[in-house]
Amino acid sequence: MRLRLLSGLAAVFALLGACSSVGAVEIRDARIAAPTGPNAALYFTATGGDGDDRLLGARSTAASEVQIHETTNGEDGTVGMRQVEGLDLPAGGTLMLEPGGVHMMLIDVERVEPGDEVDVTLVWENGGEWTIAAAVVDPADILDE
Amino acid sequence: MPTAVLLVIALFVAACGRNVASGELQGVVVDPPQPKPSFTLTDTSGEPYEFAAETEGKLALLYFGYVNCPDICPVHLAQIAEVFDQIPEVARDTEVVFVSVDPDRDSRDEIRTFLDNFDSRFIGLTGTRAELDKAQTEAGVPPAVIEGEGDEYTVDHAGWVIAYAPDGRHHANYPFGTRQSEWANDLQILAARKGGSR
Repeated sequence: MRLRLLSGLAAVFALLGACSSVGAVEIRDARIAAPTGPNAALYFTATGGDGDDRLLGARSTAASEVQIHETTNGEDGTVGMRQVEGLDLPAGGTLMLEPGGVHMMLIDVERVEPGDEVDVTLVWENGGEWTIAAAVVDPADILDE
Repeated sequence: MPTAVLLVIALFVAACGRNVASGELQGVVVDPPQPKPSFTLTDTSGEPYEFAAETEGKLALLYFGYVNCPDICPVHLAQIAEVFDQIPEVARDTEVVFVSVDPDRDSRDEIRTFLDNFDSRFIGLTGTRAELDKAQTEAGVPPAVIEGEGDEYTVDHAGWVIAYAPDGRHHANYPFGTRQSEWANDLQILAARKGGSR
């Protein structure tokens, strides 16, 4: 009986790990553009759980700091970047971090290469802290990933 | 989902993602084509680089960015480098010119190291702020605006790549989001636009 319970729990944890889903928030397509300078961008899609939440920030042992940034588009076609305090994820809603939009910036990131994986701990207002694994990809392919 | 349905979806996605050379430019076409700008900056080896003269008779891709730019700039440059591998015959006669608009932070060495991530043939240029403003104005893009100090700063800059065909004219722009397939298509078309033709 105990064995069955343990194996059942193991299966549940394996499932949670597979889709990086903890506290009912789900993260998909977590990917980092291989760094070409001191910083690298992290993208993913988050789907909200039962309650509203807010992504407050993140940290990673592979970077000195992780900030939330938004690439802004001016009317004249210029692009810029602004730091963002946090990102709301409504219950059942979707939050897309994508190239040319909102992303997380890994500051002073380690020299990771395509094929590597980087652990990033996300900090949520309600959902606590938990870690996702982001795949490092070639920036040439980031729009098609 | 039935396999057949998945297959159909996969084929549809593949078809959308790959525009085979269509004969038409996929970029934002400049019509009529405009003259090539005239400006001189300094390359990563410290030598003057006169844009119009150095790129004469070649396909030239001009982009204003900065090294410390993790979202937009590397994607443009990495895509072009990837497409160069696919069409080496075009790449041979194409000059990719990256102008750093952030002279206070991007040294020549840093620009070189940055570009070598993509393709060591890429040209990197820098200059004084006044020279850079002039180059951007000549090229028809709004001069970059840099605000803030230390690590806390922002750079607003033109987000598109400017393409000049071997005929010396500005034919198209490539905003962020251009796909590799569109680059491959357009570079082949532009490379064939030699002097006297459009």
